[in-house]
Amino acid sequence: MTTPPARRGGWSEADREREHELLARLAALPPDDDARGPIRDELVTMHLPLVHHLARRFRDRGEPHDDLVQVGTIGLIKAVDRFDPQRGVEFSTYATPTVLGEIKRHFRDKGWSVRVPRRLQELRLAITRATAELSQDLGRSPTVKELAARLEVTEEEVLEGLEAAQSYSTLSLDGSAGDSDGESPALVDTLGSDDAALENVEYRETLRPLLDALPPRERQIVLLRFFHNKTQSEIAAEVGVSQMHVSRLLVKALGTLRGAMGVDA
Amino acid sequence: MQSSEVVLTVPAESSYVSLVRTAASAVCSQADFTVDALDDFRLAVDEACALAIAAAPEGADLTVTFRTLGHTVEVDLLSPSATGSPIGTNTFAWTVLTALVDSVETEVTDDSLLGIRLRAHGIESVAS
Repeated sequence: MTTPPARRGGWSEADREREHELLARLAALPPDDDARGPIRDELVTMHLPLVHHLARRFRDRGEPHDDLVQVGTIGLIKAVDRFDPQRGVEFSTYATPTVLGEIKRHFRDKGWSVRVPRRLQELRLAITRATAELSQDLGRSPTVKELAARLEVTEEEVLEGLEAAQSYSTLSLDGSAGDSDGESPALVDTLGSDDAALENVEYRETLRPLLDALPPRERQIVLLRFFHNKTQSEIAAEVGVSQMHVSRLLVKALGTLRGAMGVDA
Repeated sequence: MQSSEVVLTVPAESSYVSLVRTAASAVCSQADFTVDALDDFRLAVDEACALAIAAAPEGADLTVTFRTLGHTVEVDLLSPSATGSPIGTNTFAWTVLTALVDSVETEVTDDSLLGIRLRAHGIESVAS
């Protein structure tokens, strides 16, 4: 793999070799071996700067940095325990989505969300309903103009409502869809049939574990949209959620992938 | 056919992307995009902005030009590129962009400006 993994500023060649050596040794030991402890500790310590870096992305969101580092470190430990050097990806690339997942879960568990005024929440619900109805009537997804006419509001209000839908808390909707703790079905089971679709993507070896680390529903939606060229409405019908929800999950998933890959991948 | 142009210059920083996205929504709504197409276009603009910002040196500006011709919207993103390298057509980002809009073009000019052009279309709306 020639892709530089996200942020390893300050690492010497010796550090990197040490990392690879430790990871190989850890992978060779049985899960209950006492020798794992010190190796694990050293690996976690080595990668704490990564956790600090990722936690800083969430500053100004009302949670103390130290708390975020703490939950992020839990993600790091999980990543150390689950990493398989055979996969051929850099550890930091593998660990990033896991750490981010823990931090985001922390926000979710605390019920954090962008505060959306009640008026917009009602508008959002009305738009969701009208979008479904009009899609039925028209055989395609409606335009903003058509939604505005149906709801007897201005186009600007519809746009506002669509915007509000993006920041609406995903708490209630995604909670049940399996969590981003990496306990999703094995990569090979879910992605096997998508190999052909992924064929032409550079760094697909990097992409796979990242897709695998997404919550199952987000992964499914990403694959359907980008590798099977289904429309958002088609996906909504197939997965059994609203089009807005599909849109929101796509935004979320792409953000996660972008962050984890470094933007140029 | 109705045509118009909207030009937006913002600092090449992620905190300004929402502004570009909001402009994209308004422009696409004018051109009678379906909600599907509008959301796709916004996602593509997001992705393209992320690419431009990642390549841009500190303090650079990102110029976004929306052109509407009838129901077709074209957006040009132009920003300095520190690396001077174009966007690979075999990257995941490229896969995402091409899946979201009708056409994607990219180039790096002689003076190291990275350009990304996206094009998508709305429909003949039935509502008056």
